[in-house]
Amino acid sequence: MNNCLFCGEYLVIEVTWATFLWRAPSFIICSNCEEQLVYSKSPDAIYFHNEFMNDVIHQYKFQQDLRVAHFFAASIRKAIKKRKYDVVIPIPMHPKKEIERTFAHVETVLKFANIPFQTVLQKDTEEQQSKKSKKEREQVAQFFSLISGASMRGKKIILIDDVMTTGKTMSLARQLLMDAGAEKVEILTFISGQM
Amino acid sequence: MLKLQRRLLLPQKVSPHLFDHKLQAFLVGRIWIAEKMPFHPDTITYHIHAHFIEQFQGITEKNSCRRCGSQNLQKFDCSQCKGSCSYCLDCIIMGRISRCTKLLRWVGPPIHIQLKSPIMTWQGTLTPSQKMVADEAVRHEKDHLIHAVTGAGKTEILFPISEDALLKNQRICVTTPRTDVVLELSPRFQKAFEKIQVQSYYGGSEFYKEYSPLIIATTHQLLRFEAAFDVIIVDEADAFPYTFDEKLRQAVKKAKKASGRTILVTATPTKLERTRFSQRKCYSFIARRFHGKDLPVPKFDSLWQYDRQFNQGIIPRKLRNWLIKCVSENKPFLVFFPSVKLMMVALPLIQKIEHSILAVHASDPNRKESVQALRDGKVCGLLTTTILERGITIFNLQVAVVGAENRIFDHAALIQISGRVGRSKDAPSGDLIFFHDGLTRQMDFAVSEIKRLNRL
Ligand SMILES: [Zn+2]
Ligand SMILES: [Zn+2]
Ligand SMILES: [Zn+2]
Repeated sequence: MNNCLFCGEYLVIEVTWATFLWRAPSFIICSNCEEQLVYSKSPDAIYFHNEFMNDVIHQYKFQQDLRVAHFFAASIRKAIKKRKYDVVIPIPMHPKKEIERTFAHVETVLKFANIPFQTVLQKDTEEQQSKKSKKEREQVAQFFSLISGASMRGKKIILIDDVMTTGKTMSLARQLLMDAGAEKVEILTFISGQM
Repeated sequence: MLKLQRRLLLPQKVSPHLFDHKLQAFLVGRIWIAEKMPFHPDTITYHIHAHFIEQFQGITEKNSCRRCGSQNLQKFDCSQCKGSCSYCLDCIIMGRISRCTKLLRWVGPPIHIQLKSPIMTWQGTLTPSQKMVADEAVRHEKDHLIHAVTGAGKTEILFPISEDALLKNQRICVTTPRTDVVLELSPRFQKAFEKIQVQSYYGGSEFYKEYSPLIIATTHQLLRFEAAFDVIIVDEADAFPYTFDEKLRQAVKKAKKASGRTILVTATPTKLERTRFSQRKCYSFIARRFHGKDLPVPKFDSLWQYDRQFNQGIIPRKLRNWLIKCVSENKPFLVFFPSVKLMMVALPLIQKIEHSILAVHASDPNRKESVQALRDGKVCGLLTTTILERGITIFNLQVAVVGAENRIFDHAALIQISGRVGRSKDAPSGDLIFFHDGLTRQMDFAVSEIKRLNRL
């Protein structure tokens, strides 16, 4: 017996792209939900932000339904296949926040997708933040840094995050990686920014 | 609060009276996720320490959810408890419960609220048979079945039963599987008991921090309660999915105090219920509608291949004529469809007859407003799924079922749908047509049952 991951609708097994994509029959979405997915036109994101995606993100991050990670895992596997890269790096989550949510939402997707990744970025703790000068703090909205000793020399990198919001996070992360010697930094988010 | 904290630090025995009454009012009879408590964590710690609150794990040793009893769990690697954890998939909509989730329950002193008589502000009078049934249910004091035909005025019967429980300082819950019925019942109960706050619980309902002795809730929302009620009235006990879902039956059992009792109210008792309550004193029956007139008997009319016709952009002729008649005579109507899909195909076609006609279904956020619009005469009719088969009373309503042969319309559903017609004393009858593409036993059974009740 199968039910749609998003709407719970009982699934009469139809062969859709989802069936092929997941190959795990316990995680399928119904054709109704599938119709509501809008693909992003930008190469930086997979899906376009709409009301339906809002609900999906709500189910994943707020209701903490980890099964949704399988949906994004399948999506990202497909999206990343054509790209040439050396390293995948997820945007980090604050450790406190991760404990609160019980899982790291971006890393979980990558794990489910069997995509190896490196966690070279880290969220700063409050003390580290206070060590930065006031000017430094004002410049960046999100505080993280490269873990010491990480070298990205000559690497082609794909940076992954869930939702593209202001783009500030991404450009900061990209800058850090370029400074560490990366050759190229591409961006990929599950969902494009809210318009 | 500071006083409580200081008290906590002292090595002396905690006084059995020193607890937060607001916290007690909130948590009594509930089962709640610790993280989501609307109180300061220190306050909660104090109450746990002083044994006013019991704290336990979200998933039991035997791998079932402590809130809903489900064993449908999802395993995952948890960053909170640093290892393999699992969470319940069945009640996730009410806030996820994982193995490491802390649940809370009040184990301190019970609440005593002495309500002063008269509690009931309802001014109506019961018919002799309504009064007899209410008295029987009150007197019996144990599990009870009330079999009342549609339109017998069962909500009125529930008023004196509730009043009796409230006077005995009992906590009472009226539960029904359907949100629509909760929405219909809540204002009526609030009006009948103006002096107390009647709380209603359904998916997306208001959040209440206070204690109420009278609660109207969907059976699903009952999962938030444990050993809370002295009396649980299960209204529309036959409504899908209650008859189907053993889990919801367990929810009723769990929400009830060990000493509590259940009163089932239904227009179509199942065989099982009839045997269970076969003893005369456990069973009350109202065969007549409150206005004393017969139940309307459905007429069958064929609507061959209605499915194909709709999909070709045609309203089947007989249905079309019926709709035009209703619109021109200015009589409100409901048309029941077997599926949302077919209804949505039919809607634009039918709107060509009269543009104000609307469609309602389970996931339609505006369905409350749409039903109100029909009641207010702002729209002349609605298309609906079985979602409106019960709990709806509209003056002089005309009813048609499209595809009465469909499996979704079992005899209970068909009897309920028939019960929407002729509910008022001033309009005790109306059109009731089952359009079909072939007859079924369920259709025959519904008609013979209605006829049988009329003979009683
Ligand atoms: Zn779906
Ligand atoms: Zn559960
Ligand atoms: Zn855990």
